[in-house]
Amino acid sequence: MQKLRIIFFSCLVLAAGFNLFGTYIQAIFQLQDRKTIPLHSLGYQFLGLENIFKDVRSVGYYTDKDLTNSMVIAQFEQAQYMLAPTVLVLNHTQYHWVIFDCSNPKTALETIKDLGFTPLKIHNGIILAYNPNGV
Amino acid sequence: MIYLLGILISLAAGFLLIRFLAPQRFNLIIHILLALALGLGIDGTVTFYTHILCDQFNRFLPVGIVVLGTLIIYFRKYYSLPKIQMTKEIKWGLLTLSLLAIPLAICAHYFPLGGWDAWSCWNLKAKFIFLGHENWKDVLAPDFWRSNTQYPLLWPLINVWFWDLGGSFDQAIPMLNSVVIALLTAGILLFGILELTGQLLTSILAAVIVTALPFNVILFTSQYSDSLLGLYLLSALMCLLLAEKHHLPKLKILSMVFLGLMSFTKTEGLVLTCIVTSGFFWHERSHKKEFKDLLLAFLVAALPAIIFTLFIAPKNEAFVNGLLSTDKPTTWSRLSVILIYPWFEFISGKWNGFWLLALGGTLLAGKKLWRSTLGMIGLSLILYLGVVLAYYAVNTYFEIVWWLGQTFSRILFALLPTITLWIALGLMAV
Repeated sequence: MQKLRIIFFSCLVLAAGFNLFGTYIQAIFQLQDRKTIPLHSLGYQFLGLENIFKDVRSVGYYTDKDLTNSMVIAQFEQAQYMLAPTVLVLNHTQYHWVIFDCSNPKTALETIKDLGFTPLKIHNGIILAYNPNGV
Repeated sequence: MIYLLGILISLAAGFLLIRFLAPQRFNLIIHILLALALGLGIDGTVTFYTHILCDQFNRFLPVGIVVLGTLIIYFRKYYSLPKIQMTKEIKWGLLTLSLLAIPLAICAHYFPLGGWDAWSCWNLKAKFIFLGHENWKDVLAPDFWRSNTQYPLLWPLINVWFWDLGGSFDQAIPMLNSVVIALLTAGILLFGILELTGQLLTSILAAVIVTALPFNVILFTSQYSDSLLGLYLLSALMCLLLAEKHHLPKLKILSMVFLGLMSFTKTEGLVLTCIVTSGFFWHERSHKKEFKDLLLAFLVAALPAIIFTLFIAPKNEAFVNGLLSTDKPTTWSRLSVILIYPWFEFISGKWNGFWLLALGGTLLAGKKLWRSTLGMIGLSLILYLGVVLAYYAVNTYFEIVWWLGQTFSRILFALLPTITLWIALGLMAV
């Protein structure tokens, strides 16, 4: 039994050392990584819009992207986080302000024209449009 | 600087409240660590009452109440400033915590927005509460079902308290709080095991194995409420164990306070609170005199969770009762996945062999793990995992492999510090 305990404690020492080594390697990698991490920086392109939405409770968020794709959902949810407490209502265009996040700007502008909205601001590939009949 | 001020206020509030509840002296380092954990809970609780229950969006109110309460306790009974005697053990412990702090700080800085649930759930709620004023409840609307609208609010409210203090939204606050919570967990584990067993090496190993695991570093810095749940569970059980070792029954009151706070961290925390509290009361059934005080302390600390769950939380939109549903029934294949998946999780490389070590430790400690207080802890953990697995079976809203893959590791992560404490004490035969 005593031998087993010694073996077990040796394993504990090794595991602790391995974890500490691994976590420092991970930290060094993180320090050297200069690339952006797509999943965690999707929302930054919406920064700045919160100044326009001051006192606006809800805005529309229109996208033609595949909503079963987790990256698209991540982008929408990060946009929501960046612009909170304004509520982004997914694929609803009845509000005064509607954010168009389309697969290409041409499609977005055509949709805006078809709906009779006015494109006001192109912001990091995102188009903000005004709906004159919005609520 | 403002953040540091917030930490000092929280520390003072927690420190004095512990002295008030449990006047007998115990290990000062553990007292300080538990004080900060408690102080953060006090911040969140006061923010709940002011912002949410009273709809008072004056930022000075939550901060003012905590400061005023601290001053009242201080002047009610003057406490001299404690002095720490720097023993060799304390120096080694602090050095270990410093070593652990570096990768945690780097990782927190690397993921400034935290993990997915941080920006889609926890911090989103915090932003709505802080910036949304009387419209903060918009975040509880059914459209936000992905944000787990029914989840309790302690972690967001702690961050809101710090934003109240600073006067503006600052992403650095949840980032720094996540590091502080990780270090508090490591510190309580390290100095707690040291106090209970007197074994410095074992204490350091336990803290390093839990806090330096690369996967845990990522989860600690993901700004999720799971780490808060883990911290309060560990704190509650540490207080109970210290109360028994040093015959300080008042520390059991503190244990109940931590259990009450844990119920406001997550829905899982609420379930775990019910299980551990029941086990606690069963364990304490012979101490009838203390029962009333313990229950009162628990109810006071759990009151925000009770109010939120009964009167504010919307129904869970992501729930289908598979036992009754004909569209999405609980099937045998779902049950078999639930019974098989945990074993694959236990041997997954991300845990760096932790669960194999835990198995080895459990076998070596043998019956000692199932006696008295350790037995109560072990049975509570097993019962909790059983309830969680049963919930995976009953709620058929999500596809099971995806759901287990997304969440089961976080359930285990929150239990890791307590499991480590449990096995360490079993091995050291306290």
